[in-house]
Amino acid sequence: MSDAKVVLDTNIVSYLMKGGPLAEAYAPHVQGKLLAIAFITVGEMYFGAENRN
Amino acid sequence: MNINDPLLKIRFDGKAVGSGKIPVTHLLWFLTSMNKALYRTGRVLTGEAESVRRGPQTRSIKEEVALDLMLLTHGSPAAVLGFERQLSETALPGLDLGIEIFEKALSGLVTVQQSDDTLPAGYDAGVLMAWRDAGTLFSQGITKINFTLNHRKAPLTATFTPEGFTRIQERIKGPQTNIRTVEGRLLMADFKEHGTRCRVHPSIGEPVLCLFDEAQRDEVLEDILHYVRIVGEAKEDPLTGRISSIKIHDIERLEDREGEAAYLLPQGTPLSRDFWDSPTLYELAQAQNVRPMTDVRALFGTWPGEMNDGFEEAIDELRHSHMRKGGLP
Repeated sequence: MSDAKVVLDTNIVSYLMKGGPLAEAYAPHVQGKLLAIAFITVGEMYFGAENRN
Repeated sequence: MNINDPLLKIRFDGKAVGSGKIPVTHLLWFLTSMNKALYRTGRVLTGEAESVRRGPQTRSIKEEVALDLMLLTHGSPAAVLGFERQLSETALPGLDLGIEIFEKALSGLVTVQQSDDTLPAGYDAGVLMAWRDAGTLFSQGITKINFTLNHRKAPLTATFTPEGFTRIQERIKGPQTNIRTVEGRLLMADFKEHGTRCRVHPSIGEPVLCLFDEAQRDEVLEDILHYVRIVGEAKEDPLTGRISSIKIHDIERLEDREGEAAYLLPQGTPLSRDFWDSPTLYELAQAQNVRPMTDVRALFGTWPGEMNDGFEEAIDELRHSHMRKGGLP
């Protein structure tokens, strides 16, 4: 397993999932690395999904 | 108690049973389903609007319908089982909830196999689904199931037949309005009060959003992660003809197809350590079967909302509003 690891904050997750210029900017920094998110980000993603409905 | 004349006798006929002999798998399946039917009938009778609503189980109903198997004998060439209640003392005559549950469950079973559409006392969709599950034995070598309830001088008898089973299935499906069938792995159930929903992932093709109501809650919960057949009223995209959502009328687990779409199941090896331990990021990744991101572009375009939906601003506002209120330093 690669040694490189990155914990992503919520906005970076949404940028990457949305695609577009911000995703392009962050992509080289996460490519090939072990990615993780914190529990609070999971909660914030749920918050965003709830607000959408 | 007369050992040869127990409270409840159940007789199975068909080529799957021999004289005084029944496959354990059949017996387990039947008793599980019958217990569900009895318990749900009890909940309907005690005023639950929907029998399968999740929540702390009412202990008294479980106790009231708890049975001991006392007898396995033969009618030729059938297998006959005899049961007694575990409760040794019953309440006052006429106030015995357990007897009322047995009585309503069995007399209702007779009614729901007939053509009338009304539901008898003690019945709702959850009770029908429990009996439907029991009736799947009719495709496994059972041709008839007879019940005799010896609760009064004149016993109550009920017969469950393949024709009655078909009628129960029809009742569950409801009126035939654009009824469609979807098969796949059941994932992502959401049990929120407003809008209970889940997703079914077919082996091939897009997942389908499924909507269900309170009476189906337990059935959906029990089938999460399993391969199922869902029958229901479909809404379709008028342009593509693709099913956009389906309102579940019936859900049935397909045991013989459990191997399909197994890649959708959660992978990895759960960590067996104390909650207060702090596993490393690598250990967590291994437990969740997470590997380094080889193609980050695979993430692009997977956001379910609009590009400019204000999500990042909303999270920023959420985090900082606490600071303004003095909730956090």
